[in-house]
Amino acid sequence: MSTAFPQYAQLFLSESREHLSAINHSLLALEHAGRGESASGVASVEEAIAVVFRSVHTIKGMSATMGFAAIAELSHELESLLDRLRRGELRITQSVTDVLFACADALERGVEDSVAGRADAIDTSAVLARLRHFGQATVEAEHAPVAQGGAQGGAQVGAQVDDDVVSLAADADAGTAVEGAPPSHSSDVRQRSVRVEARRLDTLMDLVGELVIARGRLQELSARSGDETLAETVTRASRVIGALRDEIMTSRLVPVWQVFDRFPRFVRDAARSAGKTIDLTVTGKEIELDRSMLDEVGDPIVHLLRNAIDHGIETPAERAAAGKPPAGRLLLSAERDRATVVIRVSDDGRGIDRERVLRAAKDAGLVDAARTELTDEEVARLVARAGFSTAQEVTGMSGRGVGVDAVHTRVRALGGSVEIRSVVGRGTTVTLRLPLTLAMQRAILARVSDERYAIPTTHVRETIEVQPQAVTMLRGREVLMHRDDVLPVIRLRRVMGLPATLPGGELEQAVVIELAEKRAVLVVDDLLGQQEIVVKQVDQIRDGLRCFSGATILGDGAPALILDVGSLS
Amino acid sequence: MSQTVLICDDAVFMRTMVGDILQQAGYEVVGEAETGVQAVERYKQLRPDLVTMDIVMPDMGGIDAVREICKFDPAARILMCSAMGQQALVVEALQAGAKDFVVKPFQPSRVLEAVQRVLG
Repeated sequence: MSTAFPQYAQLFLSESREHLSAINHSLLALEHAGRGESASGVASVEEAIAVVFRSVHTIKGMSATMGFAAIAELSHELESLLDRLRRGELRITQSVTDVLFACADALERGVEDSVAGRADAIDTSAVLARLRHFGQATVEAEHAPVAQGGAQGGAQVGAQVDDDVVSLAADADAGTAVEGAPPSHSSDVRQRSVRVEARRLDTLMDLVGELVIARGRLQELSARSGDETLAETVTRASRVIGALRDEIMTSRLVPVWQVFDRFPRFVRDAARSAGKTIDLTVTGKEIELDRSMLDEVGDPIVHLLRNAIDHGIETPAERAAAGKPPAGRLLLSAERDRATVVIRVSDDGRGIDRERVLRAAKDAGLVDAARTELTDEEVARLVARAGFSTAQEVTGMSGRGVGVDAVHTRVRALGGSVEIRSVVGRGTTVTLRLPLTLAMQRAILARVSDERYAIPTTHVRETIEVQPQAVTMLRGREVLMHRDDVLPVIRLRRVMGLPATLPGGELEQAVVIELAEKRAVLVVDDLLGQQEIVVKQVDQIRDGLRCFSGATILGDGAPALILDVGSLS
Repeated sequence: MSQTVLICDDAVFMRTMVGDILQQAGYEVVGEAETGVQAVERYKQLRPDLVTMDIVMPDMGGIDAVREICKFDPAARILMCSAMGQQALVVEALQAGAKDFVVKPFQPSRVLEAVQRVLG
């Protein structure tokens, strides 16, 4: 990277990205306004332009300081065009927004390339030519009665840096025109803050993880020793370690808008290329997730949005024929539910056709040929199944299965779950439930034979004791009546390939596990209590070990596998 | 005792950079503001020896912030930070009460020269 200030490169990158996100957001609003639709989320056209102007201006200043001339030049030219829009010398048409979007893309690429040291690869000539040509063509065409020559003058000045030139171009209201613009996402919090490299936060998290493991060990040893002074000290230290862990976890939380903000632009482009009109609503942008978790969920969400756009939402003509408004509705929401974050992608499209799924499933031999109906859950599971999508090509829903399966795999690896609800003709809702952080979870420890397993509490509804005689057989499966519900019984012994029976009809220990709306009773040999576990990702989980999402180290130093509840059913 | 500075800019990048330049030169950065409104508030609260002020900020622009601050404290020492192409605004800011200006992209030596002139 050729810059005089390499130490500011990361800051430049992250702040530029923030501004590009704001630019894209406002451009979408402008485009809506240009089509005569209400500008969603932005109070007015003026405000949207002001936001874009200010962000472009900031990028200009930063990139010039960094010595990234190509970006500085492009943003300067762009600023001139925006200035003309702001003064009303130019109307917002589709061709204007197209050029603006192209500029935003070029800026984005330029920013990334510059920081990555690929400044040579930056070629803004095409978009610059478009921008300049655009400016001239419209001036001539419109014979705009602006004798001050504001915009043109502006474009000619500033390309070179000269403090002494006092241009007639710049307008006195450049400062005031941005009044009333919404404050950026960042707020007062930055006051008295320091920036820390993400890598350091990761290291801190690892270290505190080790500390938590050591704490467990220490607690066990001190309990065994019976030494009261030691126990007291250990309790105090434990409390401090807990507080330390909470602080570090909190410091790693980032609001989901950091990822969500790129989706409106993505949806716009995808909808355009699919020939569809789509209104995207995003809610819960302020919800916070662990940084590493947020990095991981971006792709799955893109998958889900793309599925909704390509396969869920119909073309305007089809929608009209179905008596729906021409613009499809797409909702992306995030909300906090206890120690989890729930992310939903919901569309009002054609939904999943169960009949077809049933037929395809039968053809593929995935369900009993005698079945006449599938439950919601089965549909979801079938659609999510790898390899099922090939069968689906028959149904004209190709692609959907692959994407959903990828989402399933990814989300499950993160310790989360996926649920699909769909009504034919009304739409599909996919719900992702994720733990707040990747690195640490609360889990219930269970013993089977000599092994201990960790069951993440995210998926545990309650712990129960089961009377062996209360378990009955229903359609060849063991079930248990529990709170007026018939729950399938899963025996962890059997899952692990051990003989299922325990001697003598004693009470059996079990947890009611819950995945989305589905519940089951998981019977284990013994429940050992709840504890904090530090999740260690296992690189390659062998085929036979499908039911584990990772491993952890227990208080006594022994490893334990973490059960992937979703795979048990 | 080192002289105190309030840095006003809506970009963290710029605040960091100016802050680093000034701190390395022995000034004490006592506060930051990212909007004009904050700039005025913090000035009243912190009474810094020097303010660096960006022109384009959300909420209230830098020039209006200069006016407000000078209304409160006519002796306020404010250094404008402008981008290229904003010369007319710089003139307006000077009329509003700012003492001097530097133009982005910043060069540490120029920033320090300007700061010394203003604190003179």
